[in-house]
Parts: sequence; C-alpha cells; structure tokens
Amino acid sequence: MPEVEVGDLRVHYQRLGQADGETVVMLHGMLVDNLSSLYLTLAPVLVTSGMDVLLYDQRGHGRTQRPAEGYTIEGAVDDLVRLLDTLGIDEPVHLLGNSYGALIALETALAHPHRVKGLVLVEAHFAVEGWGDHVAHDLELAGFGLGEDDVQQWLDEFGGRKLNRLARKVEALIYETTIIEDLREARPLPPDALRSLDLPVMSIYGEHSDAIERARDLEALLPRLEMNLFEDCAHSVLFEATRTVRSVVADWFARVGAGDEIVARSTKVAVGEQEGEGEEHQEHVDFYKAELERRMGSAAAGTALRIAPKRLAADGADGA
Amino acid sequence: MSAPSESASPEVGTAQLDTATIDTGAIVETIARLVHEVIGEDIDFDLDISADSSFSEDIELESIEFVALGEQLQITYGEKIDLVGWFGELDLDEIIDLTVGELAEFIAACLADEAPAGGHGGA
Repeated sequence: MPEVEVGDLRVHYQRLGQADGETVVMLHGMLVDNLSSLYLTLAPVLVTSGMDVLLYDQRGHGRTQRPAEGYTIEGAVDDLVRLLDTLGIDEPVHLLGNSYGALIALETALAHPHRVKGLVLVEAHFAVEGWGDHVAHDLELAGFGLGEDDVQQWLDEFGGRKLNRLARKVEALIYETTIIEDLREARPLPPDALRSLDLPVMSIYGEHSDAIERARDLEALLPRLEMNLFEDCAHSVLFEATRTVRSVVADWFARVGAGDEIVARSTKVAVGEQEGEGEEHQEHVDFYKAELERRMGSAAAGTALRIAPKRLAADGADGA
Repeated sequence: MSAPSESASPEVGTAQLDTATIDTGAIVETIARLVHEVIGEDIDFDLDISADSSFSEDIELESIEFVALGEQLQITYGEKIDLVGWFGELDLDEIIDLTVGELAEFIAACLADEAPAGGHGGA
C-alpha cells in the first residue's frame, strides 16, 4: 500500500497508468468516501487512455491518517499541493473531483492556477453564502443519527462488518476531529474569481441533484465550461450512471488531449436503461434527513447542539 | 496501515506460470490468503473463503480493502493481470458482486494469456 509523508500527514495513494502520460489527480467526496470509488469507476478509462492517474485518500478518509485538525478547505488544498510536491509532480495536472472533491479541485485551481491545466467536476459543491453552516449542520445531523439507539441497534443486527466499519470511521471523523468547526468557517467563493478562471472545465450534474443551483452558478460564471446534465440522476450520478459518466469523461480527455478548443456549452445527457433512478434515491435521502432533523430539533430544544457520542465510549471499550 | 506487501509470496504466481494448465483452485487459495492479510486484525469471525464467496455479501470486504487486495494480487501475479482494465469493463454493481471464483478465473485467463472475454464474471 503506497504511502507518503506529506508534512505531518501520512497519505495513502495509488498511482496507475502510464508514467509518461498526462497526470490526472482524482479527488473523492467527504465523510463516507475514499479513493476506491474513483479507482473502480473512472480511473480505469483514463488508464486505458494512456494517462498517469493519481488517486489518494484525503485527510481523515480511507487509509490516510486522521489527525484531529486541518480540515478546512485551505487545508485540503494545501494537502493536495504538498502531495504533488512530494511526489515530484511539477507540471500542471488535470484535477477530477466528485462532490466535495470537486470543490477541492475548483479551489485548488483558483489558489494555484499554474498547477492546474483543466478540471472535471462531478457534482461540485462550492462555498456560497451560508454553505459553511449548511455543511456543518449536515455533519452534525450525520453524527446525531449515528448516535440514535435505533440506528445503532439496526447496525448491530443487520449492518454487518462493512457498514459498521464505515459507521465507526464516520463517527471518528465527526467526533474526534475539528471537521465541523473547520468547514463552518468556509468563506464563499467570490463570483469574480470564477469568472476569471481561464481553464477548460467539464462538469457533470444529475438533473435531480441537491447541488443543482451550483450547476447554474457555474454555467453563469465559468468562461470555458462544458456542462453535462444527466437525466434521471441525482447527486450520486457517478454511481447511478457509471458507464455513461465513464464515456463522457473519456470523450472529454480525448478532446482535451487532442488540443480541441473548449467553449461554453450545455448538454442534456440520456443515461442507459439500467442507469438513473436518482430522483427516487434523493427522495429516500430527503425522507431520512427530515426524520433526523425532527429528532435532532426536539433533542436540542432550541439550544446549541452538543453532539453526545454515547456509543463511542462503548465501542472503544470493546477494542473495536 | 500495516499492509504486508513484502510478505505476499510471489512464488505462488511463479509456480503457476510454469505449469501448462492454470490451477484455478490454487488461485482461489491465494486470494483467500490475501483477503485475510488485507483484512488483518479486523477478522473477528470465522471467515471461510471458497470460490463461491462473494466479496461483498459473504466476505464483506470494504471497497478500499478490495483495492488493497487488487494491489496484492498485482504484486503476486505481475503485470499480466490487468485488473484495473477489467474493472473498467464492469459496472460498479458487477465489481461489488464478484465472487472469489470469478476473480480467480479472470486471473487464470490472464495467466494463460487468453484475452479476457468481455463479459467475464460480469453476469
């Protein structure tokens, strides 16, 4: 398992494909995600296209260390740039991110324009007014949900090894690190910064995504954006329509690699017969979220919420 | 974090390369051993791995552990095994639903220098 020390952080990474190909760095999403999701979905098509593919587990995720601090957006950008430095990658790279990973890709391109030659943003969130509070709230909600007795009971009875390991990791990230406070402080991206981003950018959103307003923002602001709106998909478009996402991404890199000029355009993408059903998925997510909101609302009773990690001590005692 | 990459015994793969027919059973055994290494100290149940075991349902391997397993298999069997290329032909569900036997057959096909067939193991 390749690891590298990046400052005080030990980072797990995987490097695939052609060493002499153009480098694409892949950035996974937050909390329940790690490099495996992109490794199994999009990395293969880029390896086949002869590219040099770098995937890594971000701070606190997957098999990278989980220090108590450093979870700000700036911290994540810093981790990425220092990883590139450590691995001796000096040439500008393509960044491909999913969800929060797309946010990090976008922020990196703005903070270090000379290090980035193009962006692929799948379901990009980015900080607008109120985003920090919003994401902090969602993380608190996830932490609250995991602490609920019926959720723990379900995990004990039906969760099995895989889901329980995932739940423990999420608990640890929420309870044992500063991720909530760090992200609450996120500053909105200035629209002018996006207007001045002179890079080829390709983005993919599910038409039912809860991040769809960000798609509209990007369309309005980015000068060289190819927008792909996937029918019948939601925020998990990468998993809902993996094959179609693969072909759109492969086509993008073929054209960018051939030096084709990228101009602003917007396309509606039909997905395969076995793909989609994102709206249904989003409805499930919204339903459970609303239920947790209700419970957390009555638990907090209008006071500032303190997450009570009631199960954490018990898990630790078990040595799990 | 202690991936036992050095301890993965390459002689298993080398031995198979020497034989005219590829022994899928031996590959299944190698996969089973590597799964135990990848899961490591977390094994707190009696994990009986056979060709029919599904990585997701039976072994409950996390995706990130599946990546680590692939890495160990690559070290064991060498560059001839194009696991990543194969993943690119499969849906995520198909990868997650793979059985040990299907993975072993793919490896055997690569070792036998057959072009891995399109729908291999992806049923």
